[in-house]
Amino acid sequence: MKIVKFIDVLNEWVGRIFSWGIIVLTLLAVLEVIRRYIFNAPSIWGFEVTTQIFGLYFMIIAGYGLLYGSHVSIDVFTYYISDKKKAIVDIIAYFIFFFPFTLICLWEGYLFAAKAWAIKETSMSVWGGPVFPIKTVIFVSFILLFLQGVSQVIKKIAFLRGGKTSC
Amino acid sequence: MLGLSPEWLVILMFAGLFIGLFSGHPLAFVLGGLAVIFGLIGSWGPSIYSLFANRIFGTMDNYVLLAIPLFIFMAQFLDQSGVTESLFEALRYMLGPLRGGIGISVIMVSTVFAACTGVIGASVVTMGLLALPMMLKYGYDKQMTCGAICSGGTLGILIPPSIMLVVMASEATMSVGQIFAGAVIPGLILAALYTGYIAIRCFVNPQMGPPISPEELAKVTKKQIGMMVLKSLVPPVILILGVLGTLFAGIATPTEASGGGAFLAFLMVVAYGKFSWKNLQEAIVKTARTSTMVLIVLVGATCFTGVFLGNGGGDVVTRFVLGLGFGKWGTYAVMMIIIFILGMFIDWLGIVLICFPLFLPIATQLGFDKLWFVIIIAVNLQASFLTPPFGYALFYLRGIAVKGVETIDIYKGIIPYVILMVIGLLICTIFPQTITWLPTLVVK
Amino acid sequence: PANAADKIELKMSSVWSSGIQLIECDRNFVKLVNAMGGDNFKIKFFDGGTMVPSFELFDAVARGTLDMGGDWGGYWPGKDEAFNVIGSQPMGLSINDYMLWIYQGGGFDLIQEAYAKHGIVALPFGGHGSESGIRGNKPINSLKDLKGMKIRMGGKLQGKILKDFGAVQVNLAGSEVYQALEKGVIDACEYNIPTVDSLMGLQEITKYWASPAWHAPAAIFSVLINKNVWDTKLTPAQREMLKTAAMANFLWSFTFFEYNDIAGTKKFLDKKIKITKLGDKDLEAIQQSIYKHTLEACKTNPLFAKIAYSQYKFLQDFAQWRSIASPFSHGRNVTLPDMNAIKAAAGVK
Ligand code: NA
Ligand code: NA
Repeated sequence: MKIVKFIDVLNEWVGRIFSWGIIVLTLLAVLEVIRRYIFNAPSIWGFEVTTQIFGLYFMIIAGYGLLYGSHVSIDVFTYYISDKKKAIVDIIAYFIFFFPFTLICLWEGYLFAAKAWAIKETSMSVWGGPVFPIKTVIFVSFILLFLQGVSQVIKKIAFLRGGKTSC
Repeated sequence: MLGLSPEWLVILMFAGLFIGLFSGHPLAFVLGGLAVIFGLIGSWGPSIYSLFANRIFGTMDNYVLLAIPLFIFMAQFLDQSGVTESLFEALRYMLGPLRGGIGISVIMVSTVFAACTGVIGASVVTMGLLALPMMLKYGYDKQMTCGAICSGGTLGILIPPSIMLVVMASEATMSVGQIFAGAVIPGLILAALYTGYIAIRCFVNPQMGPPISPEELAKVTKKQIGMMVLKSLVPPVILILGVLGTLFAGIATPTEASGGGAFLAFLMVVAYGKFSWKNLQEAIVKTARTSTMVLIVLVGATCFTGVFLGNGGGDVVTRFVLGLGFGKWGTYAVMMIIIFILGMFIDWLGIVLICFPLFLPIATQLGFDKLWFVIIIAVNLQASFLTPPFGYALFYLRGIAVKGVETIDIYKGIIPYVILMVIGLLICTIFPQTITWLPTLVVK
Repeated sequence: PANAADKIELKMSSVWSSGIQLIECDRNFVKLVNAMGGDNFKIKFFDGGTMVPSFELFDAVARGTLDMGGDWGGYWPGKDEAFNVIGSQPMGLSINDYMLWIYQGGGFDLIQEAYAKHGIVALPFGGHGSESGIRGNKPINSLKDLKGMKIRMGGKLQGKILKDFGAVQVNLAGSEVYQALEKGVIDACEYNIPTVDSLMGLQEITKYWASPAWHAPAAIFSVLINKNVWDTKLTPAQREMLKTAAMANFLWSFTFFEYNDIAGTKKFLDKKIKITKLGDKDLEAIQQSIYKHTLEACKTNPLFAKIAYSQYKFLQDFAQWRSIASPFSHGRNVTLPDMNAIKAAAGVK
């Protein structure tokens, strides 16, 4: 299962690297207070750059979250059925909910980013920094998320076929 | 495009949500998947899909929501520093001789930490890990204990600071400070109700919460206990000053204050000698997984809400509520019941996003005070964290999987506390001053 | 091709959420069109923020997700800086000037040119007169008082001007403004016109009101319509109806906001808020700072230059009659910028 391994490793690394974003976010928030309150010199970029990093942070690690089953779900019903039946229900749910949603968002995310790139969209404030890179994050994140879904489903199918990898 | 009528759309979307959730699929993708399905058959037509990217970007571009990962990060450090443990230890000795004393300690510790953090996960998990095994050992009633931990932990999002109140202020275009001030007394009323409930039940039936043994109490003197309590209160007081203090002193905005809180909590880990690279890494990883979980639900919910409102679902609900012709208080009751029922199936954020644009204009039209009404919804939403099938407090407590506690114990355990929440809601409705009084003091 | 017998329902939203009174401009327009359109022509209106976030409205109309949307040009300089001049100009056109420029002075076509690049037809459909000014808890009697002040103010150009006079532009989320001002995180803010400011409760938390509002003597709103919808779905008569409704609504919204400002202002006066005014010398200094930055923008953006030139040319042409009619004319004559430089940047012969 080379593909499964590749996807899992990819999201693992994306997750490991981008998790550190929280440190950056904390420091940016604290430094902005210090700059404004103590030095009376708030930055013109702090607000927007922080917001951009926030958006990047939680979106890009969505696939990593799926890899570790972090996304909230309810198991009141599936709790009582066998693991095999559960895997079948899971796979069906992936095809009804997950794949259509991620594919639509992937496509819409692509169009959304393309529009921003076409005019090299910038921020509307005095900072005026670029916003087209952050507008690409939806597209990239949903690719990662979609791939992780593929990996999860392959693992479940392997499990149904009697393979050892339970998930 | 089938041109589904809006009435059917509302019914089918919630039926779909129900079925989807029971499949055990992550909520975020159930919401998103339903948005795709109903986007295809709704009256707007599939062009509604291009709203998805706009709406998701709106979630990414919302500076105020940054408080969510920052509060989660803070909660990780709070957990590692062990300050909750020492406060709980101290209160356990102080209240231990009482019937139900440890249960009351749980509520008190949760209340103090509710004033430090803005999320619910931290207290539920910490108290679940600390208090649950200990209370079971002492012979406390399993169900009462589970309920106490869930409801106490949920106070974290009603008593300020709170990510929920921040989002509510943003959606209602009101001052965060006023909303924070308005939620303090209702939060304390709920805490008092839980405390009273535990005290009375254990007084009537000591089997449910026996006092701790005299031998154990003999290990420490009264003076030592007093010192323990005082000492363990220092860190939370510092945190409260660091977050709420900087906020009310005009040093930081609510979002910045949450960053300051995370930073202070980190310094506390260092001060308590608990810092290690491994711990830091663990805090970072856990924050990432929890944050993406909460925020991706927002992503799914915003697509769901877009399809719901775009295809006329909002109008159906408004027409329904006003069309009942129940008068001022009857309509109020209907809105509260709808929020309560929605609270079983979707999280607070989805409810705020769906209900505020529908209910706030109705409430204003009926002559209700806007601040009061917003806080009433916040109190009502306390129940949503506890009511199955979708309740964060339930997930968190089950997540730590304490031996000997079944899911069914948790579900049965929360029932009395949900009733107490409804009583709290009634109190705040009958005595609106409980909400409106404090904000008038804070703003001159 | 469009047929008058076809039933048509257009979806429209706004940049203003239901909590901001400016949405009344959009609502009245929808009311007008729905009254004029008969059974076959309807606009379905969604409050701002309910379908797309405010800052995404432009893209949503451009793509045709929404057929229409009520905007304020000041939200789109990230797409093209030229939108800045269309929405409002610091110390530039007054509301009356804007009406003259748009409907008689070539403004309408220039606005079309700016939006058409993005697949949008834009009909100016509302506006308001001068904004309040700067509200805060420190007096601004002269430009010297601006030094070191932390001010929440919208706009790129406005930020540069503040910087010229030693003040700092602070960026805050809209929902954080009230509290940040109340708690002293910022010293002052500009928000909108008196009636909108009073609905936000700014009279409860500020002591001073610094006038006049050099940052925005007027603001113009347009209803954006997807170009494809305009070209293929509407009959010529329907297009004419929308144009007429937009023009009628312009007058309605201007009078609505301006008249409500009587009551809005009173709310501030009732709270004994002290009004300060900048002197002529200070205003002239700001004007020069504006021209400096406007010229920079002109040099990098020909469309910006073209629109700015057209506006200043109108002011220049109108100045004579305005001064003869004084004191019974409206608005004011301004010192003009370096017209030749702007003309050159605009590429006008
Ligand atoms: Na809290
Ligand atoms: Na629930």
